[in-house]
Amino acid sequence: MANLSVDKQENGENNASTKTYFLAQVESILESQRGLYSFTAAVRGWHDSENDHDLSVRQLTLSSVRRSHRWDLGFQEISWGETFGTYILDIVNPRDFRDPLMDDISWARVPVFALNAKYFAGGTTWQVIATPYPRSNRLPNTGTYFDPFGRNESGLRLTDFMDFKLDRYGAEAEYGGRVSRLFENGIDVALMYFNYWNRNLVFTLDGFGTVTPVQERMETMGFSFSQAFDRLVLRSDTAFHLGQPTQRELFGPVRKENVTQTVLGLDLTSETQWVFGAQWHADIFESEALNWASLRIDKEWLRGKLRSEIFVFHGIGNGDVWIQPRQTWNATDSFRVSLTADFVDANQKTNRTYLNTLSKKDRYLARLEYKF
Amino acid sequence: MIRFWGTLLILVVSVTASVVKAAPAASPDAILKATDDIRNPAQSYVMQVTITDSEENSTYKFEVSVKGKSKTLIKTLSPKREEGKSFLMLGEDMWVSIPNMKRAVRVSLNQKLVGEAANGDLARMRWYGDYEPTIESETANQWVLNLQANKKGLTYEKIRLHVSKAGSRPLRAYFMTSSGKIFKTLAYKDFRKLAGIIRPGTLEITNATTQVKSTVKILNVKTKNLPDSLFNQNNLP
Repeated sequence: MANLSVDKQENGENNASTKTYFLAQVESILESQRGLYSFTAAVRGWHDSENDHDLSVRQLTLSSVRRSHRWDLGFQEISWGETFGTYILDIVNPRDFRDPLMDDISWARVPVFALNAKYFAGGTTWQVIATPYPRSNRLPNTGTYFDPFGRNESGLRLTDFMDFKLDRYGAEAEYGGRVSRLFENGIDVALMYFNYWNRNLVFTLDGFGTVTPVQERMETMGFSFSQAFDRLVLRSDTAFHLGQPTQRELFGPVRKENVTQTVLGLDLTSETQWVFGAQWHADIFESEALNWASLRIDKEWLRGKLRSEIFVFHGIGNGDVWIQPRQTWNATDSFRVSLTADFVDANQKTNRTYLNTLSKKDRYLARLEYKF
Repeated sequence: MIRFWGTLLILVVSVTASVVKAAPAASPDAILKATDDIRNPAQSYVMQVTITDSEENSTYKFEVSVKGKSKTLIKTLSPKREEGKSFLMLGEDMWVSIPNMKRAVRVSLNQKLVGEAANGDLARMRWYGDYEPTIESETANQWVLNLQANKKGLTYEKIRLHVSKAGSRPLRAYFMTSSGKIFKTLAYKDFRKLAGIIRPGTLEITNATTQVKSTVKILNVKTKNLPDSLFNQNNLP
């Protein structure tokens, strides 16, 4: 991928400082099946001229699939939720924020070593997850384009996230489960619970210029549903975060509070295959509530050769704005090219909006995918 | 003289007996069910199909698992860029699983599969029970059935189906809007042995307005006892 980032200054001058960096990923998937067991391995190499380069395991799982149940053991990504954009119920995996505008959630999840077991009983699915050795979020390196603290200019130093040790023998484990049911009238409902280390970004600053991420245990109870009515699909996610560490401003006082997040959306597919999606999103704190609206339009042309999309995320009463147009060309059976632009603005005075650290950080992304 | 009349009497009795034993006129329900049994091997099966679009120079290959009337799982095998994408249809509900997302997304059943082929062309291939059939006309060789949807959410509102009287083979289907306008046609061709019975091996779907064709070729069919858990949106790859 080629990534062109444009940093616009607030003083009104059109600062022509631009930065280009390259991000490359190669994912290799190996699957082997013997009887009822299968083994899957996927690794990803990340080379980023700004951050660093690394080789990370995306998946390393042993799976057993039977008629009424399955389990997957190993490094994996586990996804919950029905809505898009902020993925409020996607909490099992921590997040990789090296490229926070990457809306492809599979790039943004940090795989965890977990036991993921499911039992299928008619229209009901029971799921249990245990992560004995958790992992933490990952931030951009010092001085990179998306460095939330501008550490090269500010001189701040960042303490590493917690390193969960193997010799703690699971004392810091994360665990939870989900039960879902598809009813005969077509409504698909799920309830979930997870006990884990907070995923939201909260930081303290001491008098010596050291920034420390806050990591506390918390619980989330979630509810999601979806229902289709002919060309219309209704979907919703709600998360009740109990004891979540929060702060109103960056480096402000940290308190633990109960926070509710909810997203309600609907999609409409027209006869000519236009897809329109709209969502309303609310974050409800003990002292205030914040709202956003998002809109997505999607259309394929030339019998699937081209695809045009636009995503708009706009705060209601807060300064968040994110506009993302994208054009994709399916050049051959194996090769795909997409061009994306991200135009971002935000209210930087609060730490509670989604885009406060990304204000004015527009970005143009060319993505080339070759599958073999 | 007596011998002649005896012979004539026997002949008349034979003819009368033949007339009496003649098969009753086929009912539209029976014809439709017989046609369904030819189009669909069994209650539970797996087949591999390709879909080629006459305008787009690309062929898609799918593995289609079907159980009963309402459960279908379609896995994309090629092209490479779409490999791993799955569609699950349970009655009138559909999910798409995209490998990168690691989850299934609920979508409208009206979303197209490939070219002129709708999801329902591979999924809900059984029409008996979903449609109320009547015999619109018949010739010496074929029946023309008029199928009217008897529930909401089906891929097509009305279908005119031409069925050969020889073996109840489906010949051609015309898909119509509720007002009777034909918007798509389907020709059943290349009858050959699949899963033990002679079935159509090729479905040619034509857009009635643009005349663009999509060709569905059935490569192989295997009957298989498939678990219900395979058709669960929480179990999609």
